[in-house]
Amino acid sequence: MYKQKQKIKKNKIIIGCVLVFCLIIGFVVNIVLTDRKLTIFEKTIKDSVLIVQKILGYPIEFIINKIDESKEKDIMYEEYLKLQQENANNNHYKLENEELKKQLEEMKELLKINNTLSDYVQLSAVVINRDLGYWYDTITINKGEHDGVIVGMPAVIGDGLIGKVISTTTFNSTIRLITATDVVEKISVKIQTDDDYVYGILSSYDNETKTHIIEGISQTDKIENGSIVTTTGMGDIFPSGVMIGKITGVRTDTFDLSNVLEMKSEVNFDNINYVTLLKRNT
Amino acid sequence: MIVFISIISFMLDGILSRYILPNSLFIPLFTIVSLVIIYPYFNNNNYRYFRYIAIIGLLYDITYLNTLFFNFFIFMIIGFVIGLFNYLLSNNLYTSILITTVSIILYRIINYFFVVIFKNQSFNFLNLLESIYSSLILNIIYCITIYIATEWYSKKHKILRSK
Repeated sequence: MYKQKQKIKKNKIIIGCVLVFCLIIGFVVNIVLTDRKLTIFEKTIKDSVLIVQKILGYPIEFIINKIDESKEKDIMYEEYLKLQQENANNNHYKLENEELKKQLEEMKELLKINNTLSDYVQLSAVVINRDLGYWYDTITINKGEHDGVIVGMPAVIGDGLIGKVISTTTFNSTIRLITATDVVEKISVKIQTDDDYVYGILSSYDNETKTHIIEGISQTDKIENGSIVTTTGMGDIFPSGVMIGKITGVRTDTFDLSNVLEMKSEVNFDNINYVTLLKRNT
Repeated sequence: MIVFISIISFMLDGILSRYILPNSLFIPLFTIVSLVIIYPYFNNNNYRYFRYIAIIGLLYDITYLNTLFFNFFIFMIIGFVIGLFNYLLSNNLYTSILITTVSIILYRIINYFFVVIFKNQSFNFLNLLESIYSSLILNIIYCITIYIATEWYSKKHKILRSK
């Protein structure tokens, strides 16, 4: 009788332990997979540690910058000559751009439109560290709430869109890259064809082929490899006309009902040092 | 000395992540190496060691991953394995390298299974293997360097550590 009671007690303890373990795992999974808002306590710790890291990393940064500078000096003069030539051609485009901007403003005024889908303000930032253990799909930048960064702001570099802000602290922010395999939000995109645009949804990223998948394309739309993909500006997050990548392949979906496009970004996601955040004028 | 090693390793993880490409062969996981190196300085006081690991794990979560208790648990498991190895083997440079290797493999495997199960990524053994060997080279070099430095310092200042 006593032994049976002991056995029941032991079983209860084991069941209790398993339940607690499952609850803890569930809690951790929930925290890791959802874009939760950081608490003041977490924000303070993160900011403090990153400030110390910045101070300690200054000598390393200084040495690496000096090495880069000496490397760049050799090719700088050639670059300067090239840029001078390009600049002469750019003047023409600059004037044309200014004229078009002026015309756009006049038309906006005429139609009483305050903002268009492509209106945004820019904010530049430096990458201070990359995700170390999470398969490299987030980066931390040195601009935070203090500089006007808010969750959801799109981040771009010269070659195109790289992701969006998922959390902010007072002086830093975290950006999730569009190469993350678990992107919950889908991006509305348009693909440039000969004389028109075809609209689709950027739905996922294939880690094996390093390509993005665009869905919702009709089989009657003819899209060629190399077509440029940009954002449509539909939705609250991304402004219109932000370059994402180029089409590398067209195939039909599993049910043979619509086309699925493969798109490759021009961005080198392994080497991102500076980013620009875009804020839509709404 | 324990705090110094931990802070330097922790900070170097973040600083170097800016300069080392994700697909390179030199991925730093210095915080895990520091857990191996500092264990003997706790003189078998496991309670203090695990309390220390808990703090580092939480800091790692908040600073680098925006998560809570994820690395905390992985570091606890790694801490348990480090304790077990130190109980079975005597502490020297070779065992430190061995424990570092085992800890990094364990960290990568747990991380990878988590990604596969909860982040809709298909399992690819080559990816896992690549993530392991890309983390080993630099961390073993760091382990050797920091072991020799701490050995010299503890001998010079007669700091006690378990053998």
